[in-house]
Amino acid sequence: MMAYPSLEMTGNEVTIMVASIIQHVLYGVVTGSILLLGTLGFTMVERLDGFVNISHGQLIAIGAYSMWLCYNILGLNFVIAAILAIAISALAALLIYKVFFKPILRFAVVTVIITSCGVGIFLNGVIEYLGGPDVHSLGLPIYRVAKLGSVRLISKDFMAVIVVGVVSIIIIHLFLQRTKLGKAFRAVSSNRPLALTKGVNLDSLSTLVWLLNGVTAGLAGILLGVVGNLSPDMGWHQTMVIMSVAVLGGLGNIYGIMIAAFIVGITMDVGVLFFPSGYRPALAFAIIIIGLLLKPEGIFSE
Amino acid sequence: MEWIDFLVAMASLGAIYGIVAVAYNIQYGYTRMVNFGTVAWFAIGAYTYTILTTHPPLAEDSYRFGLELSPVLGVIGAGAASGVVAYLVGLPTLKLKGHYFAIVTFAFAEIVGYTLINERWLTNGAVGFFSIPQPLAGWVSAYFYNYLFFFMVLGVLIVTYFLLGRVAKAPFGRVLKGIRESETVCLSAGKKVSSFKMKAFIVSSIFMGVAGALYAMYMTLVTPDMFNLLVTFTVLFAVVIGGKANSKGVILGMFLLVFADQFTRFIEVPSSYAVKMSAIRAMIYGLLLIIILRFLPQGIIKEKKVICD
Repeated sequence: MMAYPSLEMTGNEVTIMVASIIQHVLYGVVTGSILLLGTLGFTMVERLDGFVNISHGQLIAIGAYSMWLCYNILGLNFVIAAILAIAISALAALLIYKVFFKPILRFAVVTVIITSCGVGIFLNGVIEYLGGPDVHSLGLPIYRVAKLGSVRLISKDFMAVIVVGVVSIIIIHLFLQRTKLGKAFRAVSSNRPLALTKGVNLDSLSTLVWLLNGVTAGLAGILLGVVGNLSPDMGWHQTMVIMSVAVLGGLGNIYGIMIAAFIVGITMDVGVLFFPSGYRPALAFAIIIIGLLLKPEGIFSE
Repeated sequence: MEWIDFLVAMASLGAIYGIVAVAYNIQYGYTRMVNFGTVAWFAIGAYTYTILTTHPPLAEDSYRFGLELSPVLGVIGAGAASGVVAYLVGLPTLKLKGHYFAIVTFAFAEIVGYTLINERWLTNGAVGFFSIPQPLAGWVSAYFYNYLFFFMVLGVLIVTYFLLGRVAKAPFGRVLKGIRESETVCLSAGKKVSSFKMKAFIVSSIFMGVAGALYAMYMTLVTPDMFNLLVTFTVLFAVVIGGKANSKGVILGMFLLVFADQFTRFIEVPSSYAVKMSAIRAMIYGLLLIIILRFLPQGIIKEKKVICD
C-alpha cells in the first residue's frame, strides 16, 4: 500500500488548522497591543518635534529593564514594581529630551535624526552595561492556556496585556479629545505656526508629550517582559517593528497607528504558521514595502 | 616588525571602510538621503563575492552554491548585486517625501540580517563561510600578502575617491547638492529629483558592495554577526565627523575611527570589566556622535562654499 499525498484535508485537520489560526490571531492581538503602546510615543514625538526618533526602542528597553530591576532584583510587589518602572522610564524620556534633543531642535531635521541614532547607541550601551549581555526573564508564573471547547486560546496574563492595551487606547483617545493639552497637541501637530500664535505653550506641551512618551514606552516594555524575554538588543528590534507600524499608519497619524499596530501584530504572529519563525520581524517590513507601493502616502494617512 | 604588520592590517581595514564612507557621502553628504541600512549593502557585497568564489559545498555544509569563479568576477558580481538591490529598495521609497527612506533602509538592514541567518541554503546560516579566496594569493608568500592586499585596497580607495569626486564635481553632483538644499527648487528647475536620487543611490551602493567584497577577502570569513548595526553607525559617524560632502575629511574620519577602535582593544582592563568593554565602547561612540553633532555640526573640515564655477 502506498500513501499518496492528498491536497484534500480531512475534517479533523481543518479544525486543527482553524484552531491554531485563531490562537495565533489572538497572539497577534497581544503583539498589536504592545506595539500600539510602543508606537504611540514615537508618533507623538514625530508629530510634535518633526523627527524620527531612532532611539525610541531603547526607551521601551529601559521600561523592561527597570521592571526587571524592581521586580526581580529588588523583589517588589508586581504592581508597585510596574508603577516604579513606568516612573523611571517617564523620567528617563524627559531627561533624554531635555539633555539631548531640546538644544538641537533648531538644527536641520537630519542632524536631529542622526543625534537620535547616537542617543540610541548610547542608551543601548548603558542598558548592556547595567543589565549585562545575557538574556533575562521576569520569571512570572506560567498560566494555563484557556480553552473554548477544543480551541486553545491564550493564557490569563496574555489577556491582561490586551486589556491594558485597549484601556490605554481609550485613555489616550480621551486625553487627545477632551483635555486642553490634548487639544493643544492636536493643534500644534496640524498647524504649528497658527497654534503658536494662538498662545500654545510649546515648552509645557513638549514636557508633557515626552513624559507621556516615557509612560507608554515603559508600559510597552513591561508588557514585552510579561510575554517574552529581555535582551540588550531588544530596543533595536522594537525600533524596527515600531517604524513599520508608524509608516503603515501614515507617519504621524495617531489614529492610523491604532489600526496599523494590530495589522502588523496579527500578520507577524499568523505569518509564523506559514513562514519560518526567524522571519517574524521581516513580515512587518514586507507589509511596509507593499503598503508604500500601493499607497505611497501611508495607508491610513490623513 | 610586528607593529608594522599591525598598522598595515589596520590601514587596510581603514581603506575598506573608507570606500564605504566615500560612497555613503554621496548619499548623505551630497543628496541628504539618510540611509540607515548601509550594512545591508556591505553584507550583500561580501556574501555575493563569497558565494561566487568559494568552493562547492562539502558534506557538512548547508549551502548549495559555491561557484568557484575568479575573484574579479566575484567583485563585479558583488557590485552588481548591491546595485540591483539598491534599485529595488529605492523604487518604493525614493519618490516619497519625509523620512520613509531612513525608516525603510533601517528596517531593510535588519531583514538582510535575518535572511543571512535563516536562508542556510544560500548563506550557510549562522556558521557563515571560512577560507574565502583572496585574489593574487599565489603571487607572493603569505607573509607579504598583507602588504600586497593593502596596496590593492588602497588602489580601490583611490579609484573610488577620484571616480566619485568626478561624479560629484560634474553637473550631476551639483544637482545632487541642489536636491540637498531644496528639492522644490530643483523640481522647478526641471530636474527629475527622484531619478537623480535613484542614480546616486545605485552608484554609491555599487561601491559599498565592492567594499563588502574586499572586506570578505580581508577577513577571509563571513558570518552574519559581522554585519551588525555598528557598521552602519561607524560609517555614519565617519561622515559626520569628517564633514558632509567632503571626501578627504570622510576618509580621515574613517581612519581615525578604525585606529581608535582597534587600539582600544589593547587597553589593559581588569578581567571583570572585559565583558563590559563593548557596552562602554557603545556609550562612548554614542556620546561622541551626540557631542560632535551638537558643537561641530559641520564636521572637522567644513564644506567649501562654491560660489560659482
